[in-house]
Amino acid sequence: MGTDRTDVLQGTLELLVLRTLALEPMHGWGLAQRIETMSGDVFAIQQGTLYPALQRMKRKGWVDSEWRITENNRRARYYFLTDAGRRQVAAEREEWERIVNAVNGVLNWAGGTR
Amino acid sequence: MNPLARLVRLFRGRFRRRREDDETAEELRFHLEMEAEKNVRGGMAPGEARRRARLRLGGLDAIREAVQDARGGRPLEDLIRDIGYALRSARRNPGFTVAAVVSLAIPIGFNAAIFTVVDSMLFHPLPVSRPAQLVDVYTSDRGARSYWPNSYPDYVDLRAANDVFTDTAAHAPMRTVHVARSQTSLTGGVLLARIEGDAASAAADILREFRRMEPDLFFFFQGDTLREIADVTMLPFRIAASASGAAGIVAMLLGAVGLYGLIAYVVAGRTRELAIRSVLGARAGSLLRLVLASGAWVIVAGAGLGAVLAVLVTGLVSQLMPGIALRDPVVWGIALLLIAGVAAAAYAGPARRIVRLDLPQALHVE
Repeated sequence: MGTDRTDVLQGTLELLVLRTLALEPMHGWGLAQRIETMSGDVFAIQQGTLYPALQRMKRKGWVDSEWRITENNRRARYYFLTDAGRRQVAAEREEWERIVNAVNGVLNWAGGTR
Repeated sequence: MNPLARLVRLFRGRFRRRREDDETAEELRFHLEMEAEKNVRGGMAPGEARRRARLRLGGLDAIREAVQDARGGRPLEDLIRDIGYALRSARRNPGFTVAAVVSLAIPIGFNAAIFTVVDSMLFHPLPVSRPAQLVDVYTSDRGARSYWPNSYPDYVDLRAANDVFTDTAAHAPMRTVHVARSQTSLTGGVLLARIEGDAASAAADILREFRRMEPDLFFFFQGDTLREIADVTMLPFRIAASASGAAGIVAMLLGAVGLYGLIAYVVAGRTRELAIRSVLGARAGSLLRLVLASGAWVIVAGAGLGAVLAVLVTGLVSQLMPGIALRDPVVWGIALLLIAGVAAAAYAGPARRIVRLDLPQALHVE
């Protein structure tokens, strides 16, 4: 594991999972790979935390799952977004942008003291 | 929902959860295979690839447990598993189980009995209402020369003709015929009368009343109420009761200290087992519950046996001292709560310390 990788921020795992599942239904391992790839290998998913997180989101009604056969002819549990999950992606994205803008505002502050 | 439907749902839930647990296991197996294959594709030897995959994923038991927790409550599973575990650990260590159950039962049983006696002697001394307003009436020897002192006719007269007492009662031995005092040396019965208000200040009224009813008899009445009489006659019993009560408390405290030591020692002996479970991925909360579950079994068994003992001992005592019965829930509760509380603390205290330890380090210490 590279030393320049960052652990996924507390609380952002659900956002990443929701956003990734918005692409297509995926199994847990595929989800972990995809998140790492999409983040340019910056995020190292603690793979063990992925499954409890999926279970929590399932309980909240954001995702659901079903067993399917993979292209390699194996049985795997695929997760997919529900309608509520899709709405949640939008909501979390808004919240995220709000935070990012706020942090950027602080970092880029050039207006002097008021 | 009716209880049966509830039960059916609980059991159905149990099977559903077992299936879900199996599915989680299968899902994690699939994950490990995929990760290992990826590692092999990257050039690793198969053994190393699998080892890396397991490291990358983390402890399987911990993940399964976390998934179950995220899924929601599993009260029946936990209960069944804990009871099973408690019974197994009781069987594994029968000497300790017997010792702990007996050292719980004996203090609970005997102290409940002792406190029952103390309670009857000191706090509920007379099984009558308002004993301060019951007076003991007796006639003098001189007055009773012609009549038997406190004879039944006295009682009947007193009952019929008085307007001072609100109620009267008599206690055997009481003759139903008049017998001359000189013919026998037996003493008379006890005549009790209830008055309203203060006994001492009513004394003059009472004497006047007696003399009006029976001018030939010389009645004695000194305003002794039943409570005052009981205070004198029961003093030695009360001293004995206080002493045995104090001894009982001391014995119970000693028993509690011994019980704490016994349980704490046994729990400390499980450091290694708990450490291994922790390394395998069990979390502190489940470890603590595990220890407490085996303790709960011992406490319930001890308290139950203690209750049986208490009934038996009190039964014996009540044959010697009539009027004493195991009836006061407070008396029961004190002995039970104290001992059971000590036992619970003895389980929880050391267990919490062990769980807080750096467990892999604890393994090295042993």
